Amino acid sequence: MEFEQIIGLEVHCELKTNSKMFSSAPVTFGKEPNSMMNEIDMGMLGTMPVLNKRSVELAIRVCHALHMDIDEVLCFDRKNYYYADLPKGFQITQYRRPLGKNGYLDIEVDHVTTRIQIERLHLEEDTAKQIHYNDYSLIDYNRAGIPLIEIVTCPDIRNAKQAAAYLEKLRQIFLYTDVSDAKMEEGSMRCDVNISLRPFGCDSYGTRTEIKNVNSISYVQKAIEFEAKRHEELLRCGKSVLQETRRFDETINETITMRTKSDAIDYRYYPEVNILPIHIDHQWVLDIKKQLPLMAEDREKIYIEKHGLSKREAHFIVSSKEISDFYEETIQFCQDFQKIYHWLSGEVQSYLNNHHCTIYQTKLKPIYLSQLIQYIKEDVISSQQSKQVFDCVMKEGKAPEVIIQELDLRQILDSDVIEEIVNHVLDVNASSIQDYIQGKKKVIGFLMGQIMKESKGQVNPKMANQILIQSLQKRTQ
Amino acid sequence: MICIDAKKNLLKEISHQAMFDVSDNDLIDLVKEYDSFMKCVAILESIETSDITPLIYPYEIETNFLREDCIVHETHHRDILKNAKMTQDCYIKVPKVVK
Repeated sequence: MEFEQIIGLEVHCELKTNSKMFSSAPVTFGKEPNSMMNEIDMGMLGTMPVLNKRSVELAIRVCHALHMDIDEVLCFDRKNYYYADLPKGFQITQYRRPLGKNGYLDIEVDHVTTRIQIERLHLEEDTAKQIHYNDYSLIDYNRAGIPLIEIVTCPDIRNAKQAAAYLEKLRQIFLYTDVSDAKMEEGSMRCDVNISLRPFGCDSYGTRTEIKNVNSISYVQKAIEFEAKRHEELLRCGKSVLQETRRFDETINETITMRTKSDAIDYRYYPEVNILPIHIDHQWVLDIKKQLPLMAEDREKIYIEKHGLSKREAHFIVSSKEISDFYEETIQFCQDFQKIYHWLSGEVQSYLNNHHCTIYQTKLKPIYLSQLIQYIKEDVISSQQSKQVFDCVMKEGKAPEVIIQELDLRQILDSDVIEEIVNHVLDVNASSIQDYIQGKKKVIGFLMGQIMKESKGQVNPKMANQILIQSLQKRTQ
Repeated sequence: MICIDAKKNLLKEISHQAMFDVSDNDLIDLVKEYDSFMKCVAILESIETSDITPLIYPYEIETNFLREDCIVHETHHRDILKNAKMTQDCYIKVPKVVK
């Protein structure tokens, strides 16, 4: 009997606001513990939560990008539980009426497109960060109250590869709609996985397990692969899968039981009495849709259809929002799309990999890249020299023009000067002329090397090559 | 009718979940309060509410107010931290409970 995997994902994403969801305390990362919270975040008596407009706007952007129906009445609920990560004893969330419903996201795996239905998107507040030690825990409430969206798919995902593709694309949406930095390693995007197995052809679902808080896309893949195998082994032995919550231990690549169904928490949801239903303006919802930035697939289409890039090239650029933004800025100065792509995918990408940074963290500016391309095109510098100029730009942040002047890198384009250098090289390498007469054409490469050395790499290689051949022919006549 | 020991155990369990320390002496008074509270609950439960829509808010109105995303960072956090029984390097230190 073959089994089919039934997977649903719940993704939490922190929204890029200045202040928290219900209080005016700042949203920060990596600051002194417990310094970025106030009385509202701590749920002190007499305080009242007031909803942040920006958090609603950012959540609506994602709803639009996921083609969701939007509920224009915001209603909040209390999810009650006693745990140190929320001092109030409850989390404010949207249980009864999520902001968004019935959306979808198309993903592509191995050239097959699959539509993943999205059940709901709701707003809620983040909890405190906890650090666990052997016999105590430390709590930092700076994170408590940061606006979150939770996006829940229908059980439409069928394997780990699809789950990874869904998460990649969702992350891209968060970045392109500019609602979050979506850094899984810093916890601003987190994923819970629900998985069950059933025999192919069967309509009903098997018993599912939930894997909580997986913090990288590759760990999600590994957790699904492990869990699917575990379920299958149990079912093949005639045993049943227990409904439970598990966590993924990345050190051993396995999932581990956290709690079973009998320990499941009853959250006793009820309406949040401190926040009245809020009616959001229909026109505002429409305006947010109108102002939605272009998504990765829209940009990819433009790069292919209007800029003449191949699908692979366009896909490389949009796979990073920062690279795509940099490309967009560079084309304001230079329309040589192919050359820009080559620089971004070659020298620039190699620099970013070696220095573990993003393009906007470097000293390269779009105008510098466009100038570099222009100087090569106009034969001001050779392509070899351009790499030297690029290294200096990255190191010193100066404009290419300044670097070319400082290093005296301007190409020698004067044919008389080039001829002089060529003749000098031929004079001191007389044996090479004999080799040339004997038909050893490889000698041209050697002589070109000597010419470049003599001119400190400054002669125009194309001109030097032509003059060298002419001079050799003259000398052998 | 729940016996007194069962009530004590129930209250101990609730206080444990709510992360309150409750002494045996406290429990004697708590059981009295529990009995009095449950009498009120019994009165409420005797009211027929099956066709009544629950009233969530005192005023059945909708608002349209949303707060602008501005930071007002007041440095009350040090005062807030004074409420913590134990702290370590600005963190609040609590007994380990992993859920």
